Amino acid sequence: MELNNQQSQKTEDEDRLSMLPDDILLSILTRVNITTATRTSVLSTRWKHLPWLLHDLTIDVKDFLPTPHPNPIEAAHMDAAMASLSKAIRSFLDAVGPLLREAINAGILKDLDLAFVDEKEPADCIFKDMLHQASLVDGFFSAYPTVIHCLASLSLDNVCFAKWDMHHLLFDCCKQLRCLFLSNCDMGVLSAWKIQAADSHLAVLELGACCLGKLEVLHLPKLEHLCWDGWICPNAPLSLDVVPSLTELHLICPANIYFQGFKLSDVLRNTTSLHNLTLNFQGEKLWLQPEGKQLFTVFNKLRKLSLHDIFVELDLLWMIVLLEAAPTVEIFDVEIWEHPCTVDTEVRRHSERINPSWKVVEFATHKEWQLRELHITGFAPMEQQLTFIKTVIKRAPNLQTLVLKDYSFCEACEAIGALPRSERLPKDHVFPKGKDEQDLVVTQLTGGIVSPHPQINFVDYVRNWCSYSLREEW
Amino acid sequence: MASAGSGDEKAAAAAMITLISSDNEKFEVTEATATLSQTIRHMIEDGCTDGGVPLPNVTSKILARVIEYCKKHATAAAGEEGSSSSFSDAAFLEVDRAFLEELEEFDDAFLEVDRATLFDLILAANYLDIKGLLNLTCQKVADSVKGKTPEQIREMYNIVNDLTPEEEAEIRRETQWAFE
Repeated sequence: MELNNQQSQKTEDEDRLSMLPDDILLSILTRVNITTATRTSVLSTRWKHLPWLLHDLTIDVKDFLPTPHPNPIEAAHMDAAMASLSKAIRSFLDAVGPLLREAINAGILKDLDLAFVDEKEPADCIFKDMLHQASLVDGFFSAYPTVIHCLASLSLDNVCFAKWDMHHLLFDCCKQLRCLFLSNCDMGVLSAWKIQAADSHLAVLELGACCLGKLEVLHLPKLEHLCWDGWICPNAPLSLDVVPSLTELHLICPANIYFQGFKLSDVLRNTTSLHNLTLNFQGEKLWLQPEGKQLFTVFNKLRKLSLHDIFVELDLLWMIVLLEAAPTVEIFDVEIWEHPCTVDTEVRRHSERINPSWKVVEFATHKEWQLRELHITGFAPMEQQLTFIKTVIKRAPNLQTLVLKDYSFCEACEAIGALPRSERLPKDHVFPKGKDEQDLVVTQLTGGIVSPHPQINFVDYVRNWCSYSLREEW
Repeated sequence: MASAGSGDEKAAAAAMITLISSDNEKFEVTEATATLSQTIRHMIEDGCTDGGVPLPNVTSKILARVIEYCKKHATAAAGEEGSSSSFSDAAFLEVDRAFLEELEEFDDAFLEVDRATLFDLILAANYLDIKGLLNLTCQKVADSVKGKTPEQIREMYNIVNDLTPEEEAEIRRETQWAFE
């Protein structure tokens, strides 16, 4: 390289590292933890300001714990680490105040994302731990109120808010907060959480394994995306009142024996702009109660409907009812569920997977479906799948693309040494291999229908696996 | 070494691009290999590659290494597209996984270079806009400073400390949490 002609001879003792352009040095610094990155500021004048210019600042309490992390983490270590974390954030917010404020004003540091990570598995957390975690978080915010002002995203793990006014902090104090991620957080087991925050900017709310009695969103004017993965209350986990911006809702949960199911139209009654709805049953029985035309109004803006992890043996025709109620849907995405990894290893806490009792014939509309794309992951030429797809093709004049995918790669199934599906399941439970089998499926699906029929694409396990592994890799 | 692309039979029929290093050595490579570089991809799209692509910032020694990286990774990308829908058995899957592992081994071996070469590769990857190579080489530098004290880093990379003792003390005071 001859960028530095005059120096090219004395390569041995040259400081090639400091000669790299800022963006490369910053790219290197984002690959080390925040303490190492910050320590580089004393290397030389070249490095003095670099750590403060990081675009993407992650301050993780784990960086302040002794390595390797003892498991479980001792309370004293965690307290010390939290104290260091507080100082770190204060450095970024106060000690380098002028520079940082400049950075915020100039739009270099657009927002501060903060995560209070707790390594404990939710199952190992007792009430006392969750209260302790709450007091740490509370103490942190009281000590460093400046943090609150530019906080855009907050993640909390294993926090119980029973003795703490979370509502005031999150919605009255954090005025910039746009994203909130809560994992195993609750208000004391099975207490309801009501959110009434007319001035909040919160746009994204995600709950994972939160044991709330119910989430009642009374008023969140900017909320666009709501996801709840795992609840335990037997009835409707959620109610929505004034949420005019809500466009995306994802509900993910395996039904346990106590689940009584709820009517989707009750939960969605007050939504007005829902575009994208995902319901994921994780291979268990449905937690939806059958209904029909009540869904018309709540689905009237729906464009994408996803029904995921439907147990492989369940009948599928009930889904036609949802499609009839949502003629505006353009993309319908179904994922079939078949996993030896959970069926065989766990004592089932779930009730029998009974077939859905939705009345398809009683509810048929004459509205033209806008459906353009149908995706089925976990496709196999089983009777119920073929019948369902044929019904959709017949009913959807605008259907252009049908994508039939094999199952996605499952690490857990592989870990228990499950045989490939082609070796342990009957032929009609396996994704069609090769051109002959796939041609047969095309004939089965379109045989009785006058062309033009939609284009049918097959995506096999290897492709699915490749996209999985490549994603992991890069 | 100069005709780095010629060994690849499959590529013989494919479109070839000539890359010219700063010391005027010519390298013929397939378009699939060359377009791992966004810089060259844009030149091809703009139709300015006739008569070869001069790369005045890259020496032949470094360009040969960069091409070696691109050839390996272009094959990987082609392999992914090529896994057509008609194969879905476990044997094929094994082959595929083995290939990804091989790629990882290749990357590890590729990084076994002296420090000067590593910096040359970083600058070349940056100039040619080869994201994978830039990530790989930056990660190598990052790994080398992980958990090191400033003194160790200075020694490792010949960094001259031009801060006054007062300045350094001040920065250390402000960022004491990073040194605990």
